[in-house]
Amino acid sequence: MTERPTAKVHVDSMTDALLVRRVLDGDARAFTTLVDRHLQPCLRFATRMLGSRHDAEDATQEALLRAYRALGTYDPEASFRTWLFAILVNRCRTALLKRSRYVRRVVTDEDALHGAVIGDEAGSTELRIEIERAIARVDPEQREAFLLKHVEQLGYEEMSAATGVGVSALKMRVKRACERLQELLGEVNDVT
Amino acid sequence: MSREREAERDSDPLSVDWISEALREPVPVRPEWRAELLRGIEQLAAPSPPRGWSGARWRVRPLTAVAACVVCALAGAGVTTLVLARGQHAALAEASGSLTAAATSRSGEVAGRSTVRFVFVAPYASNVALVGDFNGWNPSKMPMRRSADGRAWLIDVPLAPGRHVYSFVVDGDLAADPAAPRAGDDDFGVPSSVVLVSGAKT
Repeated sequence: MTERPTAKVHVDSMTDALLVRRVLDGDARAFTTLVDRHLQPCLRFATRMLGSRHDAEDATQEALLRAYRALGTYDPEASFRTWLFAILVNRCRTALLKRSRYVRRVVTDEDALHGAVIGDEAGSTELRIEIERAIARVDPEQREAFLLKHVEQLGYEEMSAATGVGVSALKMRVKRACERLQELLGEVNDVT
Repeated sequence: MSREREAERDSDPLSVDWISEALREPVPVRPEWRAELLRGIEQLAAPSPPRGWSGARWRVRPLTAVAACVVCALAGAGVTTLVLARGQHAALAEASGSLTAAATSRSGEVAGRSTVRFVFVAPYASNVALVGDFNGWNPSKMPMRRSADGRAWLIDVPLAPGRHVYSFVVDGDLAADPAAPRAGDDDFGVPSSVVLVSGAKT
């Protein structure tokens, strides 16, 4: 009979599905590799989606904890990233819903300055802040679709699996988000 | 990205490419937050495997094991004879597809371990590796070598007597061995096969 593998192995080259299998076999450390592999994109999506680092960290943390608990339901034939994003998208939706019950969030200059995480390559600080503010003003459904498509670069089928929204509706949301962003940033350009 | 598109993006800060690239900048992960997250995960109970998964990989009923070993020894002997007779390991069960035939056969014993040859016919693959419970499911540990005729991928692995679950990683995708029994926990979705190594010399 074989023994459960206990020796430390190099897990960096393992596929997500294999890492999940290791976790389910009792090697909880394999989940750390999965976390490190997906933490950055998850945090970026949540930050852009919620417009607040604090809320984004909460939503990402909750999504990863839920993913860990529900790992047995993950279908390794599917993309782990898509599966994880489905959980994260739900956490972000819930966070937005809770927030809308208590306060209508307005992105102030201070918020935008504090939360601005776009690098210098993107241009001047002012423009970076304007992009942050503009994306926060896009309708949440359109923002979600835009971020998944153009920032996280998921395919439409993956987006559909992650959001539960049909492909044609997602395409329309992305199109409208693009138009809205250009309109909002165009207004800024006209003023300046 | 083409030069024209790049020039257009650089000159137009309102283009979708420009906005997307700006938003794609990584958000720094605070180390203390990451540490807190990992501590939170450590405190959780281990995730529940899917139904039919628990323990199936590691427990074999004694009678089943004995019967399986006998069947394996007979089948192994038959396969080896067939292979040696034909003199071509990779031609075991080749079908019409491009990625089909695979097989295992015993070819020797070293220090209580039997050397098992794993063969996977995939002439158009670029990389094939063997993963299993004997190497921690690590695809970098047992890369397979291409056969002389370039059609199959081979590796000889010394295995302890018992039941081993394995799979092939073919250009990054998992594939079960079509010439071996599927693992009982295959319903989890990872295509896996079983090889039973007998302890008795044949």
